[in-house]
Amino acid sequence: MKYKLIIIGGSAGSFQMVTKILSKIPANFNIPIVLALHRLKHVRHGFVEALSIKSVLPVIEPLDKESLKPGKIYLAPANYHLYVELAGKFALSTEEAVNHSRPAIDLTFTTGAYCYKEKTIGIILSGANRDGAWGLKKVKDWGGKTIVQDPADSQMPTMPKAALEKAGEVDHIYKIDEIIHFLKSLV
Amino acid sequence: MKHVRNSEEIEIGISGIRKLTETLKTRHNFDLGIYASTSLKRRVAKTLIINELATIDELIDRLEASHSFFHQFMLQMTVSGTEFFRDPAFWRYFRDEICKIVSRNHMRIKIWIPGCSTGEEIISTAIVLTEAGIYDKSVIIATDFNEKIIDNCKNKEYSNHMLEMSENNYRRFREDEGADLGIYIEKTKNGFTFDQNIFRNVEYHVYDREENFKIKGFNVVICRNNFIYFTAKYQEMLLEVITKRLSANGYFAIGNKENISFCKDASKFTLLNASEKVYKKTGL
Repeated sequence: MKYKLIIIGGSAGSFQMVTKILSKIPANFNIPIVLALHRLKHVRHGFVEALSIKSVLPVIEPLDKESLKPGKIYLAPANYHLYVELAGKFALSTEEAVNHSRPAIDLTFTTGAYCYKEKTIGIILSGANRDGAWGLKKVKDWGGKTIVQDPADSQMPTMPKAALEKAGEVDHIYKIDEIIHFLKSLV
Repeated sequence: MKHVRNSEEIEIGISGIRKLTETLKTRHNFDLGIYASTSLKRRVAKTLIINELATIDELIDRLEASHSFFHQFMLQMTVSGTEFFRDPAFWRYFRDEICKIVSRNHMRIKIWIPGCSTGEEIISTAIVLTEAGIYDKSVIIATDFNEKIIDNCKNKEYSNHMLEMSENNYRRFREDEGADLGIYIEKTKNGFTFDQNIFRNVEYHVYDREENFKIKGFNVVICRNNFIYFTAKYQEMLLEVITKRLSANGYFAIGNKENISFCKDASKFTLLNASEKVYKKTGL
């Protein structure tokens, strides 16, 4: 199988999109999906539960030094940056916010792309700031696949637009249904 | 015009980190090999920016040339992004459960804060002990790797951007919209410091190697969000040291997403609060 890691970055307007994606991912999907989503720093509980309701696969917040496993959806925990490290493990950090965000989408993307290179898929969804743009560029630089939600299909087009601007030409500009179709085709 | 670099834009390769590790080990007897790789690389990238160095080789040259630069570098490497009263629910648990039980059972309360860094956990702990009315029977032992970090921690002036977040955390901790962290704070020209009274029962010690640190019999060890910056191997060693220094039935707190399950000594602990990751030492 070609791909080993899927990272999805989203902010304002992405929650329903992510929920929709997770509800369509089949039970036999065997690439780990990491969700780097902006969230309130002091609300630690409830988000993973909300995402789990419609998800076929289990959604969890990884612990520090936990291994990435296929068949799982990982959500970056509140008030931590989430890194992917060599040897297929997560690492957490409380270092300062990047793009006013912790978790910062850029950091999960750059570290994931560095580890998994061309076996990475990076997807940027709706959002109202520019986090994730640099990260998607790094996915592209390392030879991974880059997908951006069609700004016209996004509730908040700032983040998809910023990603397109920074990364230049991406592999696909998709509406949410096309992203789902693409992911299902990987099984 | 000088281009302001962003630390994310600096690529630090494995070979650069290897060379740097070698230099620090031979010239300064300091082992970078204990640090988790991603945050280490990010911090090294930050030191390049702060010191206006273009490459890791330039950094190595400066470290070889100057001992005082090494101290400066070490301080820059230990910058943490923590806050006062991070995770208010933890501090409530500390106040309502841990403090209550420990102060009932002991005449003196010994608390260890390893890796005290920039001091936020020390101050939060001291304030909770004060408000619980048990600060005068407590001692907080704060440690870090070298004297420069400790000095920096002692005289720390915090920048104003931390204030609002910390005040919000404090109000959440107190569950009182009117609670005011400001009563402990003294404004300075460029930020704020804390009332010296807060530090009256804090003792600072350098923890450079285990055999140089003599204190044991701690009732509580607060070590939140430190393990995440170390390799699994070093974390396991640190946990061993902490386990030995904790008294029987002593309390141990880590960050809410930290993980000791892979460590040998994990079996000596019983999880008391799964959400705030507070353990009790129940094994020997």
